[in-house]
Amino acid sequence: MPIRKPCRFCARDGGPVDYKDDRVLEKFLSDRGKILPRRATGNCAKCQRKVALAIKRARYLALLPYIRGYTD
Amino acid sequence: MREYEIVYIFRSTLTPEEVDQKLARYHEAVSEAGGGEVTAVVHWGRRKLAYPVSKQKNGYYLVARFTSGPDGLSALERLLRLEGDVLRFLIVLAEGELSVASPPMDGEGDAEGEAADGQDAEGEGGEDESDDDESADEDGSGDDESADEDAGEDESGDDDSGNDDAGADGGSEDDGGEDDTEDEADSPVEEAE
Repeated sequence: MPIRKPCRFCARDGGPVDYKDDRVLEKFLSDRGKILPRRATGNCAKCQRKVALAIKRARYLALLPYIRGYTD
Repeated sequence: MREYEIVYIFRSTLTPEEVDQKLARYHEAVSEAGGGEVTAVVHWGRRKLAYPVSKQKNGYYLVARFTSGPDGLSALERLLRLEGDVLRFLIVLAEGELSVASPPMDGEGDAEGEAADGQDAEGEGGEDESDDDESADEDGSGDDESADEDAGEDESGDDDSGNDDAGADGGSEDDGGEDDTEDEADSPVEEAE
C-alpha cells in the first residue's frame, strides 16, 4: 500500500478554497458540470467539502454552470 | 463585528462610474446600520455569465470586503434586493486574503483596470476610494491574458470612463474565443490512489 499523497489543497496550505477562482474549481467538475467525487479528485474529505461549498457558491454567482451540455 | 466579503453582479450596461456611485450608497448604508467600514474593493469588470441571469448574458463583477455588525447585513440585503441593476449578490464571511489577481475576465480585463484608475484620479471622495485605488491597480497589472468570451455590445460603457487618458477601447476590441469550457483539458485531478 503506497503512502497516500496529500490532496492538492492540503499540499498547498490547507487554507480556504476560493469560490471566486473558477479556473481552479473548474477542474473539479465533470463535463456535465457535476462535482467530481473524491475518488476522482483525490481530495481528502475535508478539502472535498471545501471544494464542494466553493463550487456551489461559484455556481450561484454564475461563475460556473449548474449543468453543461444540456439541450432539450 | 466581523469581516464579510460581498460579490456583486451588476448589469453589464453600467459604467464603472455608475457602479461606484451605487456602491458608495450601499456601503454608506452598511456603515450607518452596522458600523464598520469597507476595507477593500476590487473591480473585476465585465464577464460572461455561466448561465443567463435575469435574461442577461454578461455581468459586471465587483468584490468588496467590509466589516459590519449584524444590522448592517440585513440593511444591505434589503437595499440590494430592491435594486434592479444588481443581478445577484453574495455575502459570505471573509476567509483568507482577498485575491486581487482573481479576475478571469474576458479581453476587457485590462481596459477595466484602467477605467477604474481613471475614475479614482477624478476622486469621488469617500474613504473606501483609497482601497479601491490600490486594488484596482493590481487588478490591472494582474492577469489580463485570459481572453475568454466576446467583447460584445456593451463596450460603449467603457468609453466614458477612460475620458482622461486610458485607452479603454484598446483592450475591449479583441474578442477572444469561447468561455470557461476551455479549461477542461488540464487534468482535473491528480491521479487518485
